[in-house]
Amino acid sequence: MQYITFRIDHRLLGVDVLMVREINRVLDITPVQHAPEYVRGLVNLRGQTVTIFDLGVRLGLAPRKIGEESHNVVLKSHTVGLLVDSIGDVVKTKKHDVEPPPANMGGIQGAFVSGVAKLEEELLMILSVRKILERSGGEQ
Amino acid sequence: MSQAREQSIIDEFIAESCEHLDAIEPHLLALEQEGEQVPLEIVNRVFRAAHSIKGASGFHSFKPITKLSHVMEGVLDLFLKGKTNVDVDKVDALLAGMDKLRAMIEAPQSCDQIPFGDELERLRAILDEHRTVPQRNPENVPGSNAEPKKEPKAEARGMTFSWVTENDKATETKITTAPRDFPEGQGSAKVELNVAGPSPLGIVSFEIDPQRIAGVPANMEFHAAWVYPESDLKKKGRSLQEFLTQVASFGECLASNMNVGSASERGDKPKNDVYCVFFATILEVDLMSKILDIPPEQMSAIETSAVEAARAQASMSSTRTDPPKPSCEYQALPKTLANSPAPTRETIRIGVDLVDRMMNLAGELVLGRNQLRQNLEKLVYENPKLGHVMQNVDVVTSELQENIVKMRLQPVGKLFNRFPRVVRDTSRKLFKEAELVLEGLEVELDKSILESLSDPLIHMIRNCLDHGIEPPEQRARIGKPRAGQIRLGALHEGGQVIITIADDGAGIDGDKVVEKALSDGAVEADHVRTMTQDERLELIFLPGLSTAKAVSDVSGRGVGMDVVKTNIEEIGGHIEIESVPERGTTIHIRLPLTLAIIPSLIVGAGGQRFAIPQVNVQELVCVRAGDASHKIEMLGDVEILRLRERLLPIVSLTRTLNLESEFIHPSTGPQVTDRMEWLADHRPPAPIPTEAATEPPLCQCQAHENCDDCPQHPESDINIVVLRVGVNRIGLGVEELFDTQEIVVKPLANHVKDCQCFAGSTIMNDGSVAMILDATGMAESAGLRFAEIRAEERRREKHEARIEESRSCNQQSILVFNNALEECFALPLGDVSRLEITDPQRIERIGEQEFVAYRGEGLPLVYLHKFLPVRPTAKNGDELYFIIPKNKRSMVGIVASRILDTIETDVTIKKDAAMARGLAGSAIVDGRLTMFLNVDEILDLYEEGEGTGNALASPVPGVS
Repeated sequence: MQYITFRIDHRLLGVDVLMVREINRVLDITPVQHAPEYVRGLVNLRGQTVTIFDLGVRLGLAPRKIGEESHNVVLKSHTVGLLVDSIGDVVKTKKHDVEPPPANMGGIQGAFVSGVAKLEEELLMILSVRKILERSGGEQ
Repeated sequence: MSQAREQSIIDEFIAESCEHLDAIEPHLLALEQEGEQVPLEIVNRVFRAAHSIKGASGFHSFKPITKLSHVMEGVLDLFLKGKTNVDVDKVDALLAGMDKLRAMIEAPQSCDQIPFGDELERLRAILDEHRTVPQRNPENVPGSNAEPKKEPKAEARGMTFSWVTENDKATETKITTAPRDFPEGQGSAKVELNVAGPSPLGIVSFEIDPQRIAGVPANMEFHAAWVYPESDLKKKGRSLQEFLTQVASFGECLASNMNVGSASERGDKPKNDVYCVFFATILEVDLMSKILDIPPEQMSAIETSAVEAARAQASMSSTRTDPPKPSCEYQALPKTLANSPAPTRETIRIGVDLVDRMMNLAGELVLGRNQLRQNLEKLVYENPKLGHVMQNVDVVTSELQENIVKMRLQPVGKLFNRFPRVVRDTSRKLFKEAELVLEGLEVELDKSILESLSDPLIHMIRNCLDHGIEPPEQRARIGKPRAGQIRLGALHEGGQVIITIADDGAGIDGDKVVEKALSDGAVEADHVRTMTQDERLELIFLPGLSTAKAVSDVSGRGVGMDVVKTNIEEIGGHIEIESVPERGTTIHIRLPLTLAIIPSLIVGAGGQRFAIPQVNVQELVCVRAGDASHKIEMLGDVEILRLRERLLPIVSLTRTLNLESEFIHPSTGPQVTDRMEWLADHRPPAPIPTEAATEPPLCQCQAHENCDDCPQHPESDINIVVLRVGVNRIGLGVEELFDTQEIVVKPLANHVKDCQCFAGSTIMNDGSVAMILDATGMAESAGLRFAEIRAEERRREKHEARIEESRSCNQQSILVFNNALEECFALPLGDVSRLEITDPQRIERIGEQEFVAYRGEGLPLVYLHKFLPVRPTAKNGDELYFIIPKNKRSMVGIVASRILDTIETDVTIKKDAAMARGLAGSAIVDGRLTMFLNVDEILDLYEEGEGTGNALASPVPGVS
């Protein structure tokens, strides 16, 4: 399995590389009022509007500040992009390196994590794209 | 894969056949109208369309379709030959057959499950009546070339067919009527076919290009025809050219022994005075002979196998590539056909998704061009040629986009042309006469809008017929033409398309609508009383309302108009109704040109841009900061603008969307967050508006109080966009106004769909995303309650009208009520403060005095019979009314058993000496003797404790 990794604050997170359409820096985000809090807004991606989620808010953290390293991870389904602090490498893991989330990982973050990959230097939280896209999932 | 191909071929068949059916319908209706002098041209067109369907279905072996279309064709042929006159019943039968045909064509694979016996029988009956067609089993329609059939007639006369490879040079001439030219180099090898003609002729030999034979569809059969110039052409008043054209329109003319040009122009006569034509057609011999109007004896069917064999032999000598597929007969029609159908534009079918994609890409191209232009501008100085190139790209891009947008547009005629049929059928069903006048057929609308317009329009047209147009006798009686007229028109107006449906019928009776709405409980009585005529008419849009007395086939179920309204509003339209009793009803529908592109006003708030669809914008109002006479005022905690003497609720866009308001300081420039929460002007109201101008106004930015210059800055003006929300208006306060733009609407993504303020998003010229505001959603989000505002307005209007009225004719409003059942009492309305109703169970007694709980206090009740010489209060079941007089002294409730009415009256009250205390006098109101009460005296009596009641002042605390 290959994962695209990115960071929210110091946390290393990843999603299945097959679920990602592209990574870009289209950061001219038009906010949508009255939308769920985790919706940062809409961007124009070559004529298509893409809804950008603030992944920080989605995971129950503070809203992201857009900086030099900020990127959108645009997912293949639902034309949704995830705003993240920085982009990391694409990592390859073996199946037995991925474990289900540990029992003490609860809360909002736990709800979105589908597994934990044991990399050499650190642990990678693998996010479930399906859960992130679910409208009822997490906080609204 | 092959299955997919097959499906696509079938889809093609469906689409094509439906088009043919669409073409037939208006012509059939035209036929019916023309009656006696049916233009052959029209019949011909219908005939050809029916025929094409038959041919195509035969090719796909959809037997039932072939069967039905064949019979229809037969009936049409009767028309064509003038063997029968066109009448309503026949057209009816044809139309019914057509409908069945459509149903079958839409699901061709399962068409054999659709019963069509009735239609078939009806059509056959017509055929049988005029037994000019030797009845043939329609199943014999050629569908294959498996077993060629012999014409029994031909055999009986001992005709023989043979093919030889030798030429009979004496009769052979070149084919000149060939619809198509042979491909270069392939015309060398010819098939020679010799056919035994009628006795004087002997064997006729045709020379045919094998390519053309191969190109003949499998469902066609080969025929030869002999044409005598004297009896077949001259007597029937047609030229040879016309005859050949006729042949070509029903099949493929393969060969003939005549040189048309020379024969017809120079009067040359061919050998033995007979022309021979060899052709392929799908029709049977007898039908073809009728169409061509030559006796069947002069035609002979030729076995397909014979032709095939000839071809095979010919092709042995030369190998060639696959024959070209034959084109449709229509295209083979020679151009010389003077009154041929209007030249059809060539069309291709494209999937809507492809068009959408192209539109998207074109939009992107425009954006790309804009960016390119910005970046190129600097370079133009160095390389002036770039300017031209850029200009070129500019123009081409714009045109490209325009045209792609146009691809989605279709003339409304396509939709409107369905309605003559609707009108015809419906009016027949209702025994009414009506004609439909169509206007503005060339106006174009987006395809999807057109499609969703169909149902509402059908509904409204049926309404016109059912409720609007009166029966012919009644119309004649009131001096209207017997046939009603329905006008259906479309026109462009200000970037919108307006569709008008007008009838000259009875109009809508507002009172009837109200009556019905009341009895359905859809509205309340006192609500209705204050309604204007227009508002009454609008009640027909309420769900479930129908004024039809009985549910009919056509209407009366009451689901109609509200569905119409919803449908229209769904596609961004707006519906208005106006009606004059006895004159008719007119309905206007305003529609956007396309769903995808709408002209919008761009506004700004909080540094963000928003688009408001132009349809929703009524006007723009600028409230000048320095103008104190037109300012936004606070009313409680809401903001209001007096606009032309009406109160306009103001909603701030910034506040509704919780945006951070932005204020550009007029002098210092930098943007600061505006601390002003309200738009309203907080200055104390100026005593006289004109003086207000001189008063030093407060500045918008509160940091600079009383500075004089701020109001002069246009930045301090407040821009109000007056939005239409249904029949209501709201003022939307925006911070910035930009221009109007044509925007491409993109639907809201799943995650932001619930934001009721937005209708969608769009991409602006600079590539950024802007949200499209939804007027209705904004109003809801801002918590506006329109129903109440409207009710209040009505009350006021009525009140004013009443004051006006009473002023003009010295009238007085009185409240009439009963105490005892037969005794009427009245109070001037001016003396009444409130009217309440209570349950007698809730009356409590203390001693003799009765009380009722009212606004948290005990209200003493006054029974008239205790103080006045009248009969006791009637016990009226579970309700008891009490009237609270407007009074300065004590608050009491005068008991009444029934409230009759409030009426305007100008009666004079008579009082005589015998009148008891407490009564003001008596008068006849509405034919009944009514006693007028004197409230003051009654209260005196009550306080004095006269009569049988206890002389107690109110013992309950809190009652003054």
